[in-house]
Amino acid sequence: MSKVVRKFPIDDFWNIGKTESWFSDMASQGLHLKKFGWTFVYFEKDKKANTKYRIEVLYDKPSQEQLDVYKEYGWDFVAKTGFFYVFSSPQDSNAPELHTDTIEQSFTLDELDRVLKRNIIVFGVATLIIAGIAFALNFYDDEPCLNLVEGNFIILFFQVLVYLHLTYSTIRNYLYVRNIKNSLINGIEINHNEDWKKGRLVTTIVNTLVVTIAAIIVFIPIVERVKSDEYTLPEMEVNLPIIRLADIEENPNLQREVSYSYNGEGIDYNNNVRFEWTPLVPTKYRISESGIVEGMMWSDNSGEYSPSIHTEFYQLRFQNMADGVLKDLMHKNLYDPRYKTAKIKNPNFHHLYVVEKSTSEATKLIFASWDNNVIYIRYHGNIEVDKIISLLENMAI
Amino acid sequence: MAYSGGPMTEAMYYILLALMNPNYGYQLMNEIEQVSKGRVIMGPGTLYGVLTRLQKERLIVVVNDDGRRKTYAITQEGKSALKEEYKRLENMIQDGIILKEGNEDEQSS
Repeated sequence: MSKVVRKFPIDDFWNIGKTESWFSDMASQGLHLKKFGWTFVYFEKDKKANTKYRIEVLYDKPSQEQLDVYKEYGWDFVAKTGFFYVFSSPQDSNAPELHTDTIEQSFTLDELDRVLKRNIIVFGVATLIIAGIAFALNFYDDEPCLNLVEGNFIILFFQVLVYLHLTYSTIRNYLYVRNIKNSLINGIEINHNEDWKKGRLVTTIVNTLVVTIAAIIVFIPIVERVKSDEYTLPEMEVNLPIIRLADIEENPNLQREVSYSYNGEGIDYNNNVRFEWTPLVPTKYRISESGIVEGMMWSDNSGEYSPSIHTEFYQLRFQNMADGVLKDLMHKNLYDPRYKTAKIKNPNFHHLYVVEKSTSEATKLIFASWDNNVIYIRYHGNIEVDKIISLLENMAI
Repeated sequence: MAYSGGPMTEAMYYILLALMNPNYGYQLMNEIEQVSKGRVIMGPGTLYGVLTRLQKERLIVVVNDDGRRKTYAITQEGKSALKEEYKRLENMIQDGIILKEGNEDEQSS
């Protein structure tokens, strides 16, 4: 079996003369066109040969009769994609040209011209819509950093890039086709030996980038899905970036308060761990823990004392994202105007904020960042916030 | 996109002319070569390009398609377009008659 070699197309197929010349040069190196698509062109490795190639733009599938007539005149059908049909003939066959009338040949590009014009509008509008969605999703809630790191913004952003590239190449192709058409109308034949090497490197780089980005768009959601996890927080000691309720309360009578609403997977939503991965946040935990002390009442006698702690922990890919994420986390969680925020100086943290409604209120919020880590803790219970901070210091060191 | 008059390409003119008698692709090319006494040799790409276009413009129709090959014929519209073009060309020749005489003058002197 002969070897098949795969290559990126040169400056796209639309530059007809260049592409024909490229196929010929490949054949002279022993690489014979086998089939082609918009992303890859496949060549079969064989003996070197001098072959002429011609690209025909046909809107309807050619009949067998038509192909037979081409063959009779020395042109073999090789491959097709879309409207583009490629025919070949040995260089020394003296086959007459497929087209002997440049004006008639220019008419064969009319419809392509229209299709490309329409595509420019379609892709242009799609790009604007996607870019608009990406922008709106990222900024609608004034939490751009948080959306950036944990949302699908990266994917949207990459999609915008792909659409931009699509629009750009459609415009470029349209210009190629229009130039060819104008030349043909003026009686200038397509140069079948046009130098194709110009721009080859740039095209290869751009194509590699676009293919990589497209692959990323496909893979990121899969990786995110595979890596995400949710389970009930074990009661024993765990290696997680949290402060345990037991360490805060230090009360031997503290017991776990199990949620009534177990779901089908048997996860206790009062005591659960959710792990997520995104490209910009390789480690993200949302962990809840709830307890109850039998026989002990809340100070306002509203019921049995049942402290709880909720932790959101972000380990960011880049340290310089930490300030933005911290700011957005506070914006997201401090919706109540009665909250009073105090900035606390502590050498162990880059930033440390404590938020309380009033000193008598049982809910305390802590926001902190150090290195590339950001943490948000919501504690509901009687213990002073200083104790939680000292426990948090151990984690930050 | 209907044909709106005006000069025809050489390919279009000869194909319409050849289709005064219904004919099929390959034979058409030979016919045109004969009619033009070898002056017009048409590439197959041009032939099928024109056939497709003329069909869309309703100047020709497929009168028979046995699956193996299609037989084309000129339509009434095609005939009148061809006649008009013939008249235009005739007028052009008429208008240029001075060239012919001038040519003869040159030869006689």
